[in-house]
Amino acid sequence: MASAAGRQPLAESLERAAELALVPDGELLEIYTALRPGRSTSAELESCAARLDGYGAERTAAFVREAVAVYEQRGLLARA
Amino acid sequence: MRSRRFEARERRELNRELLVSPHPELGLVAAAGPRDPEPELLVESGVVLRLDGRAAPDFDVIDRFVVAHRLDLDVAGEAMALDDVALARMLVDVDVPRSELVRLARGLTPAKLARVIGLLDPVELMLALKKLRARRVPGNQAHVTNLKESPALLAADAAEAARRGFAEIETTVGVARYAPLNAISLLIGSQTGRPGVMTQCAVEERRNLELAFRGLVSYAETLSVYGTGRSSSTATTRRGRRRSSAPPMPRGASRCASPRVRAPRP
Repeated sequence: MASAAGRQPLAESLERAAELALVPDGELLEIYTALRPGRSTSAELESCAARLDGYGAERTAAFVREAVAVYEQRGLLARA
Repeated sequence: MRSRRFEARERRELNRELLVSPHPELGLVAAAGPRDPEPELLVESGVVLRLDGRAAPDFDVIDRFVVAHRLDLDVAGEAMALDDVALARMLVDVDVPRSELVRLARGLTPAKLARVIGLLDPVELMLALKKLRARRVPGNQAHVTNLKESPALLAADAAEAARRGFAEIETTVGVARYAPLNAISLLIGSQTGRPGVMTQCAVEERRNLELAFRGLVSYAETLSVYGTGRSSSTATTRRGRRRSSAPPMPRGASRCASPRVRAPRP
């Protein structure tokens, strides 16, 4: 409905919310914590993205992968 | 002769607060600060090379997000070429539809948007907001807190706020570990006053999420993406007694009328 009304960002938010509804709460908190600056290596974040993919949360997984690239450039990754 | 009532009220702490006038040189200004970057957008074969005074390799997290997800490069050429005043006038012109403004806004850089907003006075800003917020019925948020963190009082105040028509009610805590109690008080009070009101308890981010997972609040406001990448790393150190911590916790401004504040560039 949001998409049909031309509210693209809202539609995308709802789509992400829908896919995240299938991810268990505990895992969501773990991934959230892993995304804090300086907590994870790029390999660890990639495994977070893979876990999200496993639940069908592909849009959110793409965000995590995008974050890896940004974290790398901004020095926000943990040292391996 | 002045009434004693006025004299007594003047002595109250609340009335000793001063209204601060803008000090642009100190950064105390809502828009058009002297250190604001010049609007700039340089695109070459579909790639953004410069944005508001910064080259692509220096983009911070927010710049990158804006470029990757928000800027509509098909519109940018047309929109960035428009005069600031022309855009400001469109915002308050009832004959310019919301859809046209939204289309153009997606082609404007943050600095250009800030300039346009800076040309509007408070009444014009309200008209612009009314036009752009596509809501059938306006919804307002109330804050319900009390110094003693009394659950009964919080619930009663939340019930009254809900009854009076607030669509959303937010609380926070002075002592961090009381968060679940305050959240429950707010939830019970608000739903008693008027079922369907949304509630939240603004605490440290992870706690926010946990409260939401447990159903003690309707939603968790996000705090992370503020200013620089570094600022979000301090979230974990904020614990214990909120009242004594010096810097106020940044709050999600996204749902409010206030614009997102961006940290000054070094």
